[in-house]
Amino acid sequence: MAKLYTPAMAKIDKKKAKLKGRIQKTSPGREAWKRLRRNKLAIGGLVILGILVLIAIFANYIAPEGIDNQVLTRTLQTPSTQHLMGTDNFGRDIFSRVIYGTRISLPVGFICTFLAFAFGGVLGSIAAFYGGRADNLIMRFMDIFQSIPPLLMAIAIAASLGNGVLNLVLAISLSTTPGRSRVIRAAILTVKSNDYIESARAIGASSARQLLKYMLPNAMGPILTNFTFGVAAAILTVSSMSYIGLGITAPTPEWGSMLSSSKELMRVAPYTLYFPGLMIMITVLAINLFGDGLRDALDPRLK
Amino acid sequence: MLRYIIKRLLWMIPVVVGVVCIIFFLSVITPGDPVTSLVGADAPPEVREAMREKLGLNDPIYIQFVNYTVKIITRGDFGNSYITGQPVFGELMTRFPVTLKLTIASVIVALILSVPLGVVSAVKRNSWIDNASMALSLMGVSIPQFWLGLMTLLLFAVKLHLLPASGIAGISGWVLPVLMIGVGNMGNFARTTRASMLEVIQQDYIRTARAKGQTEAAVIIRHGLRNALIPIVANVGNIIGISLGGAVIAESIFSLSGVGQYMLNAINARNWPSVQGGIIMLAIAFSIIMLIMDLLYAAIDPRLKSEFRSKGRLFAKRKQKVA
Amino acid sequence: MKKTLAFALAVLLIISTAACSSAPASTPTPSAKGASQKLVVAHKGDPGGLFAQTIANSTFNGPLDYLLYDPLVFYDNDSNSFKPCIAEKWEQVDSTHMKFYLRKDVYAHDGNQIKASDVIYTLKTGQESGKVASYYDRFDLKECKVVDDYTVIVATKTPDPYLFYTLSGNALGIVSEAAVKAGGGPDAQQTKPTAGSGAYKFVSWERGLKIVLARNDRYWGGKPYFDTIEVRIITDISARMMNLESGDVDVVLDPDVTQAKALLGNNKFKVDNIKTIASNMFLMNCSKAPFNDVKVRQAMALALDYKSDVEVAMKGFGYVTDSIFANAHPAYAAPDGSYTNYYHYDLAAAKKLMAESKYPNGFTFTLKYTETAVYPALAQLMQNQLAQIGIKVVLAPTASTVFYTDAAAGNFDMYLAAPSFADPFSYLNFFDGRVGFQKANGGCGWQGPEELNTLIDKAKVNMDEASRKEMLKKIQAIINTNVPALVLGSQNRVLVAKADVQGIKYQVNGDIILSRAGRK
Repeated sequence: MAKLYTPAMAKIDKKKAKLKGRIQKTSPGREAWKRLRRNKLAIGGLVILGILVLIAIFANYIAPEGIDNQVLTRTLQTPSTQHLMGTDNFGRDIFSRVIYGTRISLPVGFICTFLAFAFGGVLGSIAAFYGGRADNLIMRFMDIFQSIPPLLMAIAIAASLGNGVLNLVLAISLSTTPGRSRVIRAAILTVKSNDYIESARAIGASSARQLLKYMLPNAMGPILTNFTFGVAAAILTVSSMSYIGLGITAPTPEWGSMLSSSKELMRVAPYTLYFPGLMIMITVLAINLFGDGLRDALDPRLK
Repeated sequence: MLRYIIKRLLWMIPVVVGVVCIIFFLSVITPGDPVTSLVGADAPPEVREAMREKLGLNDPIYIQFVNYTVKIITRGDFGNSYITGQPVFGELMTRFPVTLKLTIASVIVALILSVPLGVVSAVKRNSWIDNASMALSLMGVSIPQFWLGLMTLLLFAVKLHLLPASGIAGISGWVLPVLMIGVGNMGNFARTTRASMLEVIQQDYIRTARAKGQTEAAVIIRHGLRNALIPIVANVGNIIGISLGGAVIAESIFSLSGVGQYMLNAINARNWPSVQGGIIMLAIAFSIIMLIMDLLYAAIDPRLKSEFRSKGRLFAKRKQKVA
Repeated sequence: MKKTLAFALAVLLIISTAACSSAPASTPTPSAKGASQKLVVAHKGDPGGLFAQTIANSTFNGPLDYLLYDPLVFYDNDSNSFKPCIAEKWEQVDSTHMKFYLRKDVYAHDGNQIKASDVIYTLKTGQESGKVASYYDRFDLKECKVVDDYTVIVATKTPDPYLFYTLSGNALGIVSEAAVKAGGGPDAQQTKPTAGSGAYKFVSWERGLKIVLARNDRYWGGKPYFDTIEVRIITDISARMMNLESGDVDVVLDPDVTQAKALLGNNKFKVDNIKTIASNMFLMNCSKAPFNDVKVRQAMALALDYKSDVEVAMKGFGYVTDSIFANAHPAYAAPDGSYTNYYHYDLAAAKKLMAESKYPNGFTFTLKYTETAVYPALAQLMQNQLAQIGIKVVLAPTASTVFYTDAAAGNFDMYLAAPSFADPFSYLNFFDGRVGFQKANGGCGWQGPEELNTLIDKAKVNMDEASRKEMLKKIQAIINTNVPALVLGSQNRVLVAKADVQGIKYQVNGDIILSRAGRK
């Protein structure tokens, strides 16, 4: 009955073959990890990140002093062997504060991005999955939201919620949600037309199952890359917001807020400005290095 | 084409209404009484009440909303600042150019410096130029803008006395703020250029062009860069949008009186008409910039041209088949 | 074709955007000193407006008001006395009436002469607007009378021993009624003032950039020194200082204290360091726990390291205070041992008192403050020091709009402010249990003994200086023993200028008066 072999059937066969092949071959995730491992810069970034995480965990063992150990007789001392990064206006050891700062910037940056992706993920995947009117409605609303510069949006939200870590996290994640929803929508749209999604639909998988089981995992590549860069951007935003006094406030040793209170000391004690800024840069640099590696590993065409 | 532009311009009306909605919502949930900054901390209660009445703050919120939106759309009237009593529009117009110039200048400077760098990096992949310029670009996108601003201020204004610390009296006053915003953009553009250039030079038409015996420079610039520019142009619009907001911090560090500084003060004083006006103006500016970018985009990318034709579907399909 | 059209439209849009943006001219570079005398002043921000009677008074307005307007009398900080200004002499009629004889050669900037009726108009405009109530509410308008063109009777509702401090304030610059009317009324005067008779008159105001004033050639007090005074708005505190060092400005108002300290001993600059009457007050909400326990309050007062705190936060530009009134305040009475004073550092005694209080294990409370001047530093210092007696302080920097609303609503545990009133009874509103949060716009919610209330009522109307001072001393004794507020130093008025600038005067509350400035 070879006559009945239609192009549609050929397509299905091809699909089956493809699926089989995928199972037998090493998974794309493992492939990517292999490629990532070979990328020295990315591994460098990962190592720095690892060190920062370790510092955050063991901060109380590494830091010689607490975060708010004011000794008013030793204010504004230049860096020395006793105080590696000097002391601040209140006689606090800057090194200790910088060390404790890792406990704030990394998790806060991560949570901000995670929330933005969670909000944006829901909106973006609904838009991409249902398309048509839902897509139009959500995306037009995002357009409006996005026509306000994100930093100003975050400032306005933070001002209305008041100071504090939680409010800051909410402000930053809300203001970046439209951008993230776009990323997720685009990623899902690219996989939506793939054959295996059609076959999933054909075998009667529910919408939720189609979305969560087949679309999202396959769209994960660009989302993961974007997430990494998102964390880097969030860390920068957190510190800028604290710098203008709308985020985490003293005496919490957030790097941006440390810089904010040191700004007036620029001329008499410039060293108070060096280290917190340097730490922000190192952290963001490490994340970006890793993100670059991840992108190259997941999308090998560019390498 | 014209219809497309008109459509896009009309789209700004819902954008304005939407933005007004968002800010109104924020103003309702925000604690703090704008009257305080107006009548002073030690005003008696009856004076406060009279001022609330005068500003229309005692009206139900939906009435305030409708009044405000109608005034903006029909008359371009943004209301008066709670603090100064002056029309917000006038106050914004004196500040808007500062922010716009700062943003545009930083993007243009970044483009001029970074696009050639990105192209060279892509063409001479893995050479020392590539490595050095990519390392620099990575630093550019990783350095906190405000810290860069502080550090350059410290070096060039405080230590070396080469540049003024604040104000935009002459060209020299612009250098540091433009640099502060520009460095991040530069890193961004250089990386985008390199990536899209890499993708383009692997395409068949580049090979064809080479095969035709054109000089390498011609191939890279005429065929490569032209196509590689598309994602960059798409990126420029977004970057301008982000820089418009990022200018807030530059304005605060270098004491420039731009929209960002104005709005930061307004937000702190709960001066909502000014906050509204500022955000609406930035949103409109952003929409216009995006429109310009889309038009440029169409001019560069022939495939997208069809989108602008109202009855262009057939044409588009034919074109695809040909390709 | 389409491509060209797209390009053309894009270019057109760019051009139109650029055209919209060409409104303000760029700032001209400051002319070199020498030939034309010009004073460039760096100020922290735009004033709210330039017509003091109908706008909330703030430190942004003060320096400009004193240039544009002259009050009836002038406070001279060198001799600590009041000197004639628009009023050339005065006499007391009775305890609530004061007769002023005006100069006959005072003209508003638009040419109208300032006469007795203008004094009444000024008081009336100020009182009716309600924006500067702490200055204007005291006047009894029905009793104020024009005697003749150059003689006026100013009446107060109650005897007011501190009337002259009010009359010399920046909010009481006398305006010409005819000039206000001709200039479009008070609202128009806010942006284009013409009604004052001060040494300098208004020329232009570019918001966020600068305000330019020119010499008033008809000034009664002789030709003012400078042709032009340019007040530049430089919001950033470090940038103000850098502009001084680069030579762009002559005078910096509100410099950062750390930076000012670095200039001490530099003979190119001078640093003025003037004591003020405002002390930093941590006002506690005594109407609720835990601050309704007097032992807690006393323990907290003993736990603060006054000397170090003042040194760290103010860098020598301030002094330690030991009473609810700052030492430089006219009502201040030094603690003389007749009562227990708690405003000194004694950690052991503090711990002992805490142990005896209802909260031996400490407690947590929230401190509200605005993020300006020395407040953040003081808040962090006190947070650290109270931790030593087991009290945990949550710092809540608050936007000023929220801050003052909360203070007036009694919605706080403790707040930090440094109100500056020459009239001690304005301060005493905070400590008078009968006044309440709303009327005092804050305070302590503390109910003092009946004796205190009687003393306040008596002292308020007592025109005899010696016996009034005795009463104020008793009042301070009662309040200081009960510690409804912590006082942590008084910050001095600091000003840095080029060494050749001289003649800068200071109002009793620390306001800067530049109208008599000149160069060596």
